[in-house]
Amino acid sequence: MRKYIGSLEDFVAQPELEYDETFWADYQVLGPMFSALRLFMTMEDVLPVIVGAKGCAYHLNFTIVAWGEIDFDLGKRPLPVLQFSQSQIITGSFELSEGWVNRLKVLAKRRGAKRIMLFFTDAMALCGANLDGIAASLEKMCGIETSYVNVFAMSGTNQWQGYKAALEAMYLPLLDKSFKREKSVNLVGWMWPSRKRNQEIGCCISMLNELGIPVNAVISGGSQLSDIEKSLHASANAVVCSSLMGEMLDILDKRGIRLAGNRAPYGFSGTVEWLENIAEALDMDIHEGLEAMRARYLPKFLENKARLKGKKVFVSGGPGRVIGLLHALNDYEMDIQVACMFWPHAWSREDLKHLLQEHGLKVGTFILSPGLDDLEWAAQNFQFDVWMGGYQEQHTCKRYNIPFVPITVYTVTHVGFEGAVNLGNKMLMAMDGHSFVENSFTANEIEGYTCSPN
Amino acid sequence: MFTELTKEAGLAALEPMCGCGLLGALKCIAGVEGILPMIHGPVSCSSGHRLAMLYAGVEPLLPTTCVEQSQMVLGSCERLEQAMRAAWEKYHPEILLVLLSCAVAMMGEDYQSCVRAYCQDTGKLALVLDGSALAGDEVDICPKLYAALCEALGVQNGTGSNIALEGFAKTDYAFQKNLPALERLINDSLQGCMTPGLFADSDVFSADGAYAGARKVYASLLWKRDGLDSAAPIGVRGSWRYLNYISRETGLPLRSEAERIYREYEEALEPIAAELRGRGLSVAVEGAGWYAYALADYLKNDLGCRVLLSVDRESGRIPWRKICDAFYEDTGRFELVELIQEFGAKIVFGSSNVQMDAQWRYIPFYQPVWRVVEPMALLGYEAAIQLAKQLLPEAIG
Repeated sequence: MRKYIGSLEDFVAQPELEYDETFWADYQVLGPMFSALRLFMTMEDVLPVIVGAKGCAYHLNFTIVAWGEIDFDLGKRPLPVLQFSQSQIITGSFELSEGWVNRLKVLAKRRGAKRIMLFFTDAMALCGANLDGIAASLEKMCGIETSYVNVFAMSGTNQWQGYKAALEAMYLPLLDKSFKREKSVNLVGWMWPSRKRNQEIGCCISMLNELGIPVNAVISGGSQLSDIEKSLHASANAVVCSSLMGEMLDILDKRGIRLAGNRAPYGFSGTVEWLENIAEALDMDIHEGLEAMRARYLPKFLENKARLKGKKVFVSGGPGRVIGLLHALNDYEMDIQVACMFWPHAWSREDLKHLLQEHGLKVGTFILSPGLDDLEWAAQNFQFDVWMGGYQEQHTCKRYNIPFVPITVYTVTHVGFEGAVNLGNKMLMAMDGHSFVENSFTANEIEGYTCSPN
Repeated sequence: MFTELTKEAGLAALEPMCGCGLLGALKCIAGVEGILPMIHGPVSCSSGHRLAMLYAGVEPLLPTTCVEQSQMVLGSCERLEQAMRAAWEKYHPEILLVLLSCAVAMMGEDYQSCVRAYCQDTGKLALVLDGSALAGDEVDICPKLYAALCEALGVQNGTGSNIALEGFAKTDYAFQKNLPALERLINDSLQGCMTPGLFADSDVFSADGAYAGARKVYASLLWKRDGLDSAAPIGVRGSWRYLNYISRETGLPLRSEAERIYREYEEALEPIAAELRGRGLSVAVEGAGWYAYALADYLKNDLGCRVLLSVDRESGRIPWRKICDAFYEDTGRFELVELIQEFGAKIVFGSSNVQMDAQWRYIPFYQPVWRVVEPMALLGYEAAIQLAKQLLPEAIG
């Protein structure tokens, strides 16, 4: 993986300082199979199937369902496995068992699946299996459109290749069609069925509704295949999670769906930017409404800021979230001693450069691809008032008695003006002794802060 | 219609219960002091399997060599050597356990040479094991790992009065509750004393520890599936049966009061069991064989329940019809949920994968379990009484 420890300015200005690291005590990154699967498994009319080894299905299912089942309305979802034995892999004999296919047909019908999406494991790719042939055989036997996502576990050291491959699988087949544009925006990168108001998707939809900006589709959690096609009528794409930023969004931008709001709306400054970018792309004037919305949250934000300003903070997150969290911490004028990015994508340097140049961000030390060993080093060498990071960072914080705010396992929104207030509330609660870490799986979450108009 | 799934037919399951060898190996050693596992393979293989550390309730320290497609062409040994050196410099493990994922296992490089170089440089032990799905599933790797560790550490069966339950692991569901329950059961009734086994914080790395001289009995992840006698001590009769088995295996006699203790619990259970028998309460059990066979036997033969049983691996020595009414091997998740619905279970023991609160009462029994903060003990006499009491409301309706 790509590694860097040093100043943020050098990271941005000198990409050659990044280096390849062979040992990674990673605790947060989930890989390309996870990200690709998550985009499809949370859709309503797609049945994903793992082809090859069952181990991948075991852990991918766990990682998605354990966190999404209840909090994000995912419920229980099937993730069938088409297993092939060692001898089949060696001999290249990939005939499909009729019994297995029949059971899959029943399941697909019950789930209302309009497409079966195959995810091949590494062994299938390495043995040179005919992936098109397997997909075609299954489609013929099942009578349901079947295709596959061109990504494997070994395709990359983070989620990036998975998001890229999944977006390509969604959009490439539709690019030759022409679509009539309408004044609406797609929300890209929400990967749960939930549309709850107090969660990030609900907050984004609510802000856009209040400002009179029509939302076309949510890509892709809780959506259907028809929503993907419908989304091509929109005039802009905005990200809810900017980890998903990618080449496909650039391709769509060139075809008339403007990429606007390309950094998730964190903090006051980031939220204003996000909304203004979307409005600009749609040629809408939202100034008055935006100011009114901002004003409702400002008193509570300033109240929090009075206590948070100057506090020493550690922050970590993926390439989308950490950019957003830096926006929020910078707005609170906190002393960001260490910032970690779990993994980088092609826009990460641009995003950080924007924060440095446009928002005057200051960070003590920047770490790319942190491991548990880096967390230990940070905890030993800095005096943090509060630590905001991935859920498994709780162990380091417990060892060093550092107030901890989890930013990967939570439900209440961290985006929007209210999200900035929520983050402030959480940091203050942690500093006042509240534990957000109930057990290995579940965050001890707070009530969200919402100021409705009137 | 319920069908008996054979191992071969297991390949036809839509949703297997088990994972691959990586999971099995990590279930064995997650949270064990002194052993550092490291995945040689893509990041995905380590990131997904950090869940084993969650099962054990420990920090998810599972380094990876983060191999990518390009290294499949160029070779990955140099990368592994560098990563092993870094692992030593950062963590100084007593044993570095390198687990191969599917991708690198298929490459067939000489990984043993990396191990030899590491051992020579550090003076410490390293092992390399094929954790790929091609080499078997999570059940298959556990005895292989145990044998490799025993050989490396010189572990032998002892002759002292300590008893180590080998295979009983920190990743077992409710380990923290079941460990003291097991200790109580064994220490109260046998002329011996339970000491932690290799997968449960034994003192194997200390020169004069209790573990070295302990008599070894195989349980849980190392269960040999050789009959109900060696299955977990679940139920009153099951616990007594297990005590007798351990006594036979270790040669350590039962204490004089052991039978009296058993009879007292048997008497205490009887009114509850009598209440349950004849009501035909339908119960489903999903679990690892050592626990699940024993629970199914208790539910069906002592408490008169109708039982659906799904286990990780079938025991050829236990005819399933004697302990349950419907049987599945390596079938889990959504597929098992649907089979349980068809069976009409009112109570379900298993992983969170089969928790359906609107449809049946769920009792956590098997990993993964999420959202249950306080697990209940399952092993031993007292747990048997509590467990039977738990069934009464559903049975009586």
